[in-house]
Amino acid sequence: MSGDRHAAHDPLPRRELLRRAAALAGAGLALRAAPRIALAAGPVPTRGGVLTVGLDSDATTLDPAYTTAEVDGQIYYILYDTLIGVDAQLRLIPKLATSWRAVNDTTWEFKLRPGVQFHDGTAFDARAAKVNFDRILDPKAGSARRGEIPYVEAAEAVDAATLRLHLSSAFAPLPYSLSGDAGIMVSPAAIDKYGKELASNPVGTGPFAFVRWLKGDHIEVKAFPGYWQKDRPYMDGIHYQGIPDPEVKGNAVRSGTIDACENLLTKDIGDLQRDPGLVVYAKPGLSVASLRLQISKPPLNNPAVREALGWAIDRAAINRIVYYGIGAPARAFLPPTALGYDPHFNPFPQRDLMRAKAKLAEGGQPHGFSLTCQILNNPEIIQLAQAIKQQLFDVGIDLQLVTLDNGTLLGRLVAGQFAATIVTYFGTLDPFQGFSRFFLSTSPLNVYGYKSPQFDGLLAKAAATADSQGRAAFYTQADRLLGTDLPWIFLRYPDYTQAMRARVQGYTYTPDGGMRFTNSWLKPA
Amino acid sequence: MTRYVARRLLATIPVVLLVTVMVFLLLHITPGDPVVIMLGEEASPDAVTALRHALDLDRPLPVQYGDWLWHAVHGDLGASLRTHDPVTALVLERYPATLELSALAMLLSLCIAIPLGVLSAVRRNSWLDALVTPLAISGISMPSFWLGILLIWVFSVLLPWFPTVGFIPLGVSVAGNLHTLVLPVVTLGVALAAIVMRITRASVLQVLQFDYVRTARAKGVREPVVVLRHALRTALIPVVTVLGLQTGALLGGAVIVETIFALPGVGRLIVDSIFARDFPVVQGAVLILAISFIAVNLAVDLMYARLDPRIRYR
Repeated sequence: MSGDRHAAHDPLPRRELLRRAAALAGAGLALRAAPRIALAAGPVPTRGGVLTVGLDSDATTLDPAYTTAEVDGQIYYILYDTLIGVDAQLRLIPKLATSWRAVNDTTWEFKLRPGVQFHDGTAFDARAAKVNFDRILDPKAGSARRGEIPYVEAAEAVDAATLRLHLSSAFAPLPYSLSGDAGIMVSPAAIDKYGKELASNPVGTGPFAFVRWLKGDHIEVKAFPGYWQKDRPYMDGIHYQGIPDPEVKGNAVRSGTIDACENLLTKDIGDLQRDPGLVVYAKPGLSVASLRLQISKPPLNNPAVREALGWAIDRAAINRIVYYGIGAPARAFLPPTALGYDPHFNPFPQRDLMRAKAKLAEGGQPHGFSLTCQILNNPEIIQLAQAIKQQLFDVGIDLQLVTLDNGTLLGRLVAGQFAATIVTYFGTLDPFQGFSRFFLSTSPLNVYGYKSPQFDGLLAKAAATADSQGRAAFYTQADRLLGTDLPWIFLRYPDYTQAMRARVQGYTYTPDGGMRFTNSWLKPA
Repeated sequence: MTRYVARRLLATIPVVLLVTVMVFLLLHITPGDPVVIMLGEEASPDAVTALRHALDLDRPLPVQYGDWLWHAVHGDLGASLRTHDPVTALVLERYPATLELSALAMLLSLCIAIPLGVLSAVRRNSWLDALVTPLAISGISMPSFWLGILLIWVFSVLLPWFPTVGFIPLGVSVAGNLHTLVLPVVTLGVALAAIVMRITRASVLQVLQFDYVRTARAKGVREPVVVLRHALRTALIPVVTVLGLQTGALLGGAVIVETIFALPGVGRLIVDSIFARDFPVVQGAVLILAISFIAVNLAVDLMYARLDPRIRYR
């Protein structure tokens, strides 16, 4: 399916792709069921009702300054607001900041929305925003958000409605960073009152306010009557239920125990799509799954050997067989939804064993070699790795698979203790962060041994280019370099998958995977 | 009796200490750094070092263990590395769900296993016995992760009788609580019922051969009275022993069942905490479960005296 889809998408420029995706998503469309188009667009929103959302696990913390778990973010979308938002086309839109501009290379100014209050009644203004940035920037606080706003040195409340951020160096992607967790605003009164206990007592400006958290089970939130967006939200509340077993999660949405969930098993998606009571989204996101290599040591330090790997792997077949056609074969680091994606760049359009063998011979490995690959102990990843092992075997490369739990794999990855590993990177709206962290020569997180002055130069230019289209051009060139130099062998762009009961109306899929229910309502039975 | 209990309690101290040392060592030998797991692969080395220091994880292991033990004997099991919640509160918050799940599973297994075990012993080689034995073998053989998903498929998806997941605390609604626990309790109780049924059958068969049973029959006591009043009581001793030992298996099974049905129990807390290398939570939760296991087995030993008047403790 994805191979076909890619072929169909190829001639379309990215903007056109996004426009079409947004048109579909905006109409509340699923991938199927054409008759539902009219239904989704037509009804007048109904007030009331409680939505139940199944998450992959219970939340870890409700304090956005410290979270490192993707699952927490789904709850933040409704408890908190960010300074800057994104629409269904991943364009930046005003949220708590109504406008923003770069005063100069190292100063950004944000005009803040008036009349906004936190759930505890505290007014949102520049002083409140400054408290939030001060907390993130304080090295003693150890906030996980610090790295997401690099070069930001200080926040200044110019007046009640104007916030300035002072940077040590140009960082044009800053507004994109502030549409994520780093831009979330927490009540300063709650920060004072709760301290570390904020993790269980969140106070934001979002459409829903926190009610209670039965640890290990579920979190309840209720509509916030003082929400700044008039007449929102429509629903009375939301329950977030942690469901660690993906099989059970699929059954729960099918049975109606929950109304919505994400990250479905790809093997279940076909069945769920055929269920008339469900609307299923399986759409491109920002992720890329890759075979990451340690290229500082032989034989992978030879570019010809890495290129041989690229030719030997049949990405389309893997996506079709292992992932039932959900997602798309990858071409380079940037997926189709990312800023700078080039639909014309496809370094390995199809598997070519002859070229793979020729490249191996060129790289001094005519009979292949043995390579140890550490992978996560997860059924889908194991199947993916086994498919790659089989394909590489055809050119004489013996891929030895070692399965590890997440903690062990992560530990070895960041310590650079691997020859090869298969990991999915969940990208960000502006790819600067991923590019700079993994591939910049000077980055401590570049554990792959990739050093390219040309790549470093492109990123430096991107960081100093405020215009996003201008920046995208540099990203495209950087992506082409990665797709040619191959510190990672890019495998596939996974789709984000979500399932909603048909009673959930007014929902819009956003390609960053966030489930936002501000404009959703429940159709009465 | 009091001296016996005191002696047994004293004997538990080295056992508990050994458990804590083993859990501590196993956790630290296992690869994986809680700080790296918390901060993710994109964290800078400086941030990792700072957080490791803030969490006191950069101290030598014996110091960390000694510090934990010192606080533990004073009733403080520390705080979760991830959520900063006190471990005692976290475990006690989750304990009722696990306790209720395990207790109900045990009750269900007894309600099924004792009558069926006795009947299949009394009617040995009958059609009933022929039916019960394969049922018991099936119950023992079925893995709970498979049975749980099967039950969900049938009783939640096909027949919408029970919720797939979710938990209503007993204090909120008794009926709601029991409704949410039916499938998990059946999933957990079936294997135990099968084991108890096999033991009950074998034990009753053996006791029915004893001289005192023959004497009772010779005195003209009716067969149901012979079985239920005379034989069953003695036959229950091995059953109670097995139940005590199965508490460990029940708590282990609860880990899987709590994960399948997303129940907020200690088992799931331990699993999540192991994956996150949240050392204090695993350490504290295992300690409390170990103490529970020891307490149950002490209670089992004391129950022998109630079941068999010949047994006395000194």
